[in-house]
Amino acid sequence: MDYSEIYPQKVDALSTMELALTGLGNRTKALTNNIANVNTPGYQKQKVEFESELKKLIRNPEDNSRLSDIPLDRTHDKHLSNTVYEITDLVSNIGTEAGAQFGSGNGINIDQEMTELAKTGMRYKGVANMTKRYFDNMKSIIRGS
Amino acid sequence: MDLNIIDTAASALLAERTRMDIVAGNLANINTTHDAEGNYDPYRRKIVNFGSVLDQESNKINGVHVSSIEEDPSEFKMIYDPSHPNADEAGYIKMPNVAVEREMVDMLSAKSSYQANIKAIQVFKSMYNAALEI
Repeated sequence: MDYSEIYPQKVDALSTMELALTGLGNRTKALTNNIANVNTPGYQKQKVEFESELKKLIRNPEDNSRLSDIPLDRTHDKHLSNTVYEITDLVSNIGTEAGAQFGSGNGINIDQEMTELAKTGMRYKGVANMTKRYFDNMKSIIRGS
Repeated sequence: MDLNIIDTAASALLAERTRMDIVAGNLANINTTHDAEGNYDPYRRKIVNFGSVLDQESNKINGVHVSSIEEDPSEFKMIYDPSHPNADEAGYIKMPNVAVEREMVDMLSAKSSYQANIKAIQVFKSMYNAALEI
């Protein structure tokens, strides 16, 4: 069943958060590998990039969106529309990146990896918290109280 | 996000711990001039080599392991001690090619890498708990 027909915008928010969680999880995996291999000569740094793709899908409605069947009339440009963005083809691949060579013969800068890991962890928790609130909202709507 | 991220970090903990063991062995044997049988054979410094682990299923790098432990082929230190029973004609004896400074640097490097991997596990755990609370 395609839930986007019933709750276009809500489902869209949920799938966006899901993609963000997947991307951030993959990035954690890559960062953990980089930290584990900080002393391995010749190791190729892994990198996960997904934000620019996500941004493209969200910020360019002309290219990557469709309007729902019954568009809402808007009296002001800044009013929210019921535009549904289709976010289905986003993948976050783990790629490798050759960096500057440090002492151990690989491109890993441990400080950079640790700060990136801390950032990724905090963002993951933020998005997970948002997802939780989304379901809390849904619950209170269902209960009607 | 799969749980084997913890295995990745744990593989590094094991590798760094092995490195620390070897450093401790090198430091303990800094004055060892004889082998286990009592023959004159100065201790050679041991070196740990790390290599990435390739996951067979996904064919991607996943973790690290100690690929080999080798002996440092560099020259022994020559100490002038004519009274030593194993001294050569000129009065020199060979001492292990272990340098305290180098071992200390190795030890600190192993320690901070170990802590970095512990931190990675902690971050992963808090992320996973956040996901479980959704």
